[in-house]
Amino acid sequence: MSQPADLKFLIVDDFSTMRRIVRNLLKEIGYANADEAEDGVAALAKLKGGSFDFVVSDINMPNMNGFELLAQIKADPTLKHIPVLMVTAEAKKEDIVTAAQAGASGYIVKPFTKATLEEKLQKIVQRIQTAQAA
Amino acid sequence: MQFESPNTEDLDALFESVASAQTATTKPPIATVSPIRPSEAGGANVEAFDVFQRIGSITRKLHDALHELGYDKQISNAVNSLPDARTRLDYIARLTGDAADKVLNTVDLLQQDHEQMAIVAERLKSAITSASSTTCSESGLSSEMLVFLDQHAEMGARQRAHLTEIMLAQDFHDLTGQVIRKIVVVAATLEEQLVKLLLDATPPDRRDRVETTWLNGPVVDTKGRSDVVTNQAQVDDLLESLGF
Repeated sequence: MSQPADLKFLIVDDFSTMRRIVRNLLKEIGYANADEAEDGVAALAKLKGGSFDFVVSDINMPNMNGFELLAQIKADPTLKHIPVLMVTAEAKKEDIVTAAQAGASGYIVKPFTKATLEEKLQKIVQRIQTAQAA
Repeated sequence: MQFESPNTEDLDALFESVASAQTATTKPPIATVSPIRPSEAGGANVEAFDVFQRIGSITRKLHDALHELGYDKQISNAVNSLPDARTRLDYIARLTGDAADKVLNTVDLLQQDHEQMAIVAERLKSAITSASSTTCSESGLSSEMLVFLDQHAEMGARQRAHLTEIMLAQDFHDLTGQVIRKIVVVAATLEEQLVKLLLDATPPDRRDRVETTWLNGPVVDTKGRSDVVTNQAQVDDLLESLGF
């Protein structure tokens, strides 16, 4: 993978407000390279078309929800290496368990703070770098 | 402004424990569904049957009551008022969305201004520093300006942090929007059920006036307001054809 600051993010959320907020936060944290998708279907099309390094996805979306998107990403040999951070209003324990079992890299419950997002991102990026170094 | 983040250590710990167990066993990443134990299933079936019986008898009573009342006007009123309720909820979703967008746009502009100001201030500071080391350090003015520029930088950092808070607070639109969407779905389902109930209570000689395509159920789309209106007209037509 390239340097952390060059990581290309895909933000998936059906609410444009949330996509803008996450995009702005990522920029503030130091990740300026980001694209957006409004649901799982659009996200999958973009992922297959471009070289993304990181996915930040909502769960509750029309057409294809975040769990389905996560399953599709992990089932695709060309995409399964991409870490997926779930950001969602669903705080149910079974959802968190499902996300973890399906291969999500992290789980953030809305509303969240910049510090929370930054901490999760750093943790995941570090994990990838350690795995690559090994 | 600080709001409670629901990202507690409990949830974190739960996620981490499941995720690490998952990587340790290197299972394929498929969500497992825990099977229902036979003992539970038996009890659940008996209970479900009981509920089914009760719903059946309530429906029958309601059906008979409707017949006796001559297709109570209240049902048609309820069917009519639901699309209106959905339109109102759409209105809330749209207005809050617009407000959130306006705030985000303004925050964007302020952030750009801040970036520019910071760059200019930094340039000015280095210019003063290099100038004062060579020529006019005796005036005291340059040191005063340097103090100001440092304060300016500090204040700028604080203001940028506040802007981030303002921006983050707009996530209310996403959260309230999801709740509104759930209520719209409930209203739509209720409307569909009421229309079906109305049709069930329609005498056979009037049934042929009812188009079956109306039974597809209302289109649930908070964005497509034209759909809501179309559906409203269809429900009106339906009620009219039934003589309400």
